[in-house]
Amino acid sequence: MSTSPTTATAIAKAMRNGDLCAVDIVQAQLQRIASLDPELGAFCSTFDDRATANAVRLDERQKAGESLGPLAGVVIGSKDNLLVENELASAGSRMLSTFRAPFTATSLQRLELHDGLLIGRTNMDEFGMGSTTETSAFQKTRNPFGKDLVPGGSSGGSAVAVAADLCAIAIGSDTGGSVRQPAALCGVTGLKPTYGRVPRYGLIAYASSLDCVGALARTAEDLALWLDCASGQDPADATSLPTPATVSHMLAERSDLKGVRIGVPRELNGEGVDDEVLTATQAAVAQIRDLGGEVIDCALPSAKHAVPAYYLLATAEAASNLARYDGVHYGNRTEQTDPSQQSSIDTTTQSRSEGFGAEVQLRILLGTFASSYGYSAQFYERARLARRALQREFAQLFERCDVLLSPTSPTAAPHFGDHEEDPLARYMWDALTVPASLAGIPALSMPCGQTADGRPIALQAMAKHGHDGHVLQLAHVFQMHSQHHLRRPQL
Amino acid sequence: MPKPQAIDANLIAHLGELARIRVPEDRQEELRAKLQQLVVAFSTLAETDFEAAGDDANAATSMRTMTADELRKDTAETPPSVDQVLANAPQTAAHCFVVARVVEP
Repeated sequence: MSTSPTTATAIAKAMRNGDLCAVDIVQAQLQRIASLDPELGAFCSTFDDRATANAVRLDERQKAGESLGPLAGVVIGSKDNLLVENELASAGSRMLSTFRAPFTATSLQRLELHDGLLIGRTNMDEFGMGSTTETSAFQKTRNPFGKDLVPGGSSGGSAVAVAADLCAIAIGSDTGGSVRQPAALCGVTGLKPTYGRVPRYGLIAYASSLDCVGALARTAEDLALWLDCASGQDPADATSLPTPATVSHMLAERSDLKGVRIGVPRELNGEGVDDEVLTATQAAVAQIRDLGGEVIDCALPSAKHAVPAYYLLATAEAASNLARYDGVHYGNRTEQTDPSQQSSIDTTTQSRSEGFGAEVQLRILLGTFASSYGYSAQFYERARLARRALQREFAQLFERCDVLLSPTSPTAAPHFGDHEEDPLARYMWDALTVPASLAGIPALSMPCGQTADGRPIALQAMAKHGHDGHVLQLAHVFQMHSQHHLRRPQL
Repeated sequence: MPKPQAIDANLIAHLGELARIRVPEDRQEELRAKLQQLVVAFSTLAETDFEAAGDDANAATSMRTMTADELRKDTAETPPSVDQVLANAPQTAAHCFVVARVVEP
C-alpha cells in the first residue's frame, strides 16, 4: 500500500473531502488480507459482501454531496465474540462454530451508523479466556513482529489486524486486559473504556461485571474518534452509562502535560516486571515529566490481591454465564448421545464436554469451586472484598492524581509455548491489567519502546471512572512527541 | 483460618456434576493438579483482613442501578419470530426445540 492515509482520522477526513473512494479502500484492504492473513491468522472470516455493499452506498452518498459520518471509509475488524447480523460469531469456540448472529451488537451497529465499514471477524482466545490467542478452537494467530511470537490475547486477532495494516481500527473486548495486553505485544494503541461506557448488548459474555467493549488502533486520536461513536446509553444494556460528553475535542486542547498529576504506583512498576520493559516505561514516564507532567510516587497495596480476586470473580461469573450452552437452544450438540434414549443431563454434559476447550473447562470448574456451597465464603466472597479494597485505594489515589502509569505487560511478547503448562504463571502475567478491570476504570495501552530484539513494549495509563478523556489526552500528547506508535513490522 | 482444601478426585467429580462437564479419566490428574495449585495460591485472600478498612462486599462495585425514568415503557414489543429463535438450534421439529427425554416412559 502506498501513500494513502493509514490512520482512521486521516482516512475519514480524506473521504469527506472526496479524495478517496470507499469501494477502492475496501478492495485494497480485502486484497491485503488475502495476501498477508493466511500466514498471520488474524481474521476468521471477512464480510466481503457487507463491506462492499456499505462502501458502494457510501460512495453514492459522497457523489450526491451528502455529508458523511465521522468514520466514513474507515475499515474496521471486529472480534469473534461480537455479533454481526447473519455472520458467524463463534467466540473462538467449537461450541459456537456454526452460530450465526441474529442481530448486530449495539457497539458495532453504531460504527456502521457513523459510516464505518465492518470488514471481518478477528480470532480470539476461546470466550476471551487466555492471553495468547492460543486457546482459539480454530487457528493460530501470529505476531507480525515475529512469526514465532504470540500476539497476546484474548483480542489477539484484532491487535494483529491493526499492526499489519489489515484494518484501521479493530474492536476487541477487555475483561482483564484482553485489549490492552495484545495491543502492547503488537505495538498498537488499545483502550478499555470505563465499564458501561460502550454497551455490551451483542457481546458474547465472559464475566459480566468486568466485560468491556474496547478498541485497538494506531493512535490515541483514532481511539477517541471510535469512543465518541460507540459510547452512550443503550436500552438493551442496563449497565450502560448515560451518554457522556465527547472526548475528541479534548485532544486539541493540549500540546503538553503541564499541571497533569501523574501517579506511578510502586506495586505496578517494579516487582515481576522484566528489566527491559521497566527501563522503557521509566524512560516514557521521564518524557511525560519533561512534557510538564507532575510525577508522584504512590502506592496501591491491594494490587497484590488483584490476580486472585480477578480469577475467582471472573471464573465464577463465567461458570454462570456459560451455563447457557446446554446443547439445546444453540451451540454444539453431541452426536454421541441419543436424545430419545438418554437423559437431558447426559446430552448437556456430553455437548459441553465436547464443545468447550481445556482452558474454558478449567476456568468453569475453578469458578464453580469458588462459588459453590462450602467454599464461597473463603473464595468468592473474599474476592469481592478484595475488589472493594482495590476500588477504595484507586479512589483515594485519584484524589491526588489525574492519571496512573505502569507497564501494560510485565514482559514483551513471549514465544509460543512459554509457560503453557503452568496456569498460575500465565495468570500472573495479567497482574498489571486486572486492577483497572476490577475497578471498572478506563485504561489505555500505548507503545513506548522495544526490546533489544525488536519486540514492542507498552505503557499503560489509567484514569478515574468516567474520565476516559484523560488517558486519551495523555496518550495523544505523548504520541505528538514520540515515534514509538509509528514503528511498523516488516511484512 | 481453615487450610486450603485438598482438591481430590471426588471434588473434581462433584464440580463436574455441578458444571455439567465430564473430565475424561486420563485428564483428571492434570486438571486436579492445576486446580490445586490455583486454589492454594488464591487462598491468600482468606488470610487478609479486608473488613478492618470498612470494606463491604455488597457495596455496589462497577454496576450502577437504573433509575425508574430510564426503564423502557411497560408495553409489548415485537418479539423475534419462531424461525429466528430456532435458527441456531442444533435440532428442531415442528417449530420446536428437540430436547432430550426428561421423564421416564
